[in-house]
Amino acid sequence: MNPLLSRVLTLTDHLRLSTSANGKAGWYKEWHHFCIVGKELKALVNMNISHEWRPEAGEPVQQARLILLVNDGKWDGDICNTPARDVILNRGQIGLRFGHNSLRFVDGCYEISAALENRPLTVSLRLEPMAFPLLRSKATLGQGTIDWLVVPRLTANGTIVVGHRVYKLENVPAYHDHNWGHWLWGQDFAWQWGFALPAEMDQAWSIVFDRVTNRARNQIQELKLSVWQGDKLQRIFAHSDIEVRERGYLYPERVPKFPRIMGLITPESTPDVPRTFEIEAESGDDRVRCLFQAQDVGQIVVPNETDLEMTVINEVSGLIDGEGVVKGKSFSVHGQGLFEFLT
Amino acid sequence: MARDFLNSLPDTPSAGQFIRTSLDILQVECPPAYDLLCQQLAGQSVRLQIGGEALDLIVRDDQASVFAPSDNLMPDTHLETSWQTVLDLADARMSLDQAVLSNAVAVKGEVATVAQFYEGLHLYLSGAVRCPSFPLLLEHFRQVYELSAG
Repeated sequence: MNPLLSRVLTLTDHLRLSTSANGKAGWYKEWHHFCIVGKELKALVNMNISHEWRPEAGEPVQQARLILLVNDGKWDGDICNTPARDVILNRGQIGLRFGHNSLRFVDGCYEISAALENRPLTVSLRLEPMAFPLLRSKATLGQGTIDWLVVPRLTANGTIVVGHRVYKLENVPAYHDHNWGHWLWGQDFAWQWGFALPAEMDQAWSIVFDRVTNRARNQIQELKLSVWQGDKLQRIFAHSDIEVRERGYLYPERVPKFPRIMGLITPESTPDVPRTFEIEAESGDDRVRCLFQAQDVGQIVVPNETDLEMTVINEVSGLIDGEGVVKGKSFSVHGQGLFEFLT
Repeated sequence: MARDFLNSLPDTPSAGQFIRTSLDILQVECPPAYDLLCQQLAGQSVRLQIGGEALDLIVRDDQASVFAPSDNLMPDTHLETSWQTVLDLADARMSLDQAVLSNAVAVKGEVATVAQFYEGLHLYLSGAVRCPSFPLLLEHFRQVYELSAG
């Protein structure tokens, strides 16, 4: 455990629970998001809050949701709401509790304990941060803004139980981000977001990609590729430094939807997800090339707040092959990646 | 808010009560979906048969109402299914396509009115997932059904 890193995260990764936003207080959303990318199993844990802004939905309330998804050959999991009376949010701290599900920051590590009520899926994890975070403030998103913080590299230890299958995790690569801001689902935005982590934790490099566009995806609002060596952010490529090439479409046998009832509303089985996603970045003497090969997809379906349509967040697991030169050092990254394609 | 709708629900699986309560919830908690549903199905009648219980859904004057089945009514669309299928669909154990192809959901009517009904069903579901009370209603009926089914 790195005490400086622990201190930095204590000061930056805490719950904001921001309320003032020029009349957009009802647009507020905040979440802590973790991805675990083991060889046998990938897992996604997201604890989020959002304000219910429609007056016809009754008294304004803060919705608390747990998203718990795993893929050990196929996607499983669910999205669960927690009643307000069972929610504890610690503004200014890295800590929240949704019923029996909790996130804590103890001795410089994230501790997650979560279990679905309606499916046999539980996680008990301790995640040690291995890199300093990148913080982005007030990026435009639709008609609002989003702040985010990324910890590209953690090691996960603990247990994940899926049905009768018990996975003991030992130093498995993991990723974390924390997002907060004011916007509405359904506004004119989309994002593509992903990370590359080496399968072996003794390899030092990690990469995070983000691209925010309009809904039609023909106007880029933000484009970045960030590269860490060990615990230090070494390079951020931006906009004109970066070229992205998408090829083909992923045609999975089935596309699981979460929450499951959304399968009735968005029954489509052809996700708008590229089969390969190639990123090339070059600036000065530094260059990075990264190829993501999509393998499988699960969809989180979010009701738009602006109309009766849906926003689909494609959680795509796949293989990453990356290589490059940054600050005179050559590197390669081969391992697992998870990309989000929002459509 | 949710408890107001759920206070007087029966302890037996009643299709009429489920549909009636869900429409009340939709009207209050997601009026845009309710209004569009009424526009989509304006002037239409649907005979629903769920778990052996029949009821008539009639849409007129911007209201969707549920009645006991009437011999005098010639419904535009008939839909027959079981509670188990409703839960299988809600839990994604079965897709709507699979349910229709396997006759777990049987739909009869003119193609145009069935298509209209499908659009109405889509609006109903799109609204339902936006209503805070809806998961509680579904959960109530799930428990009641599972108890009654043993």
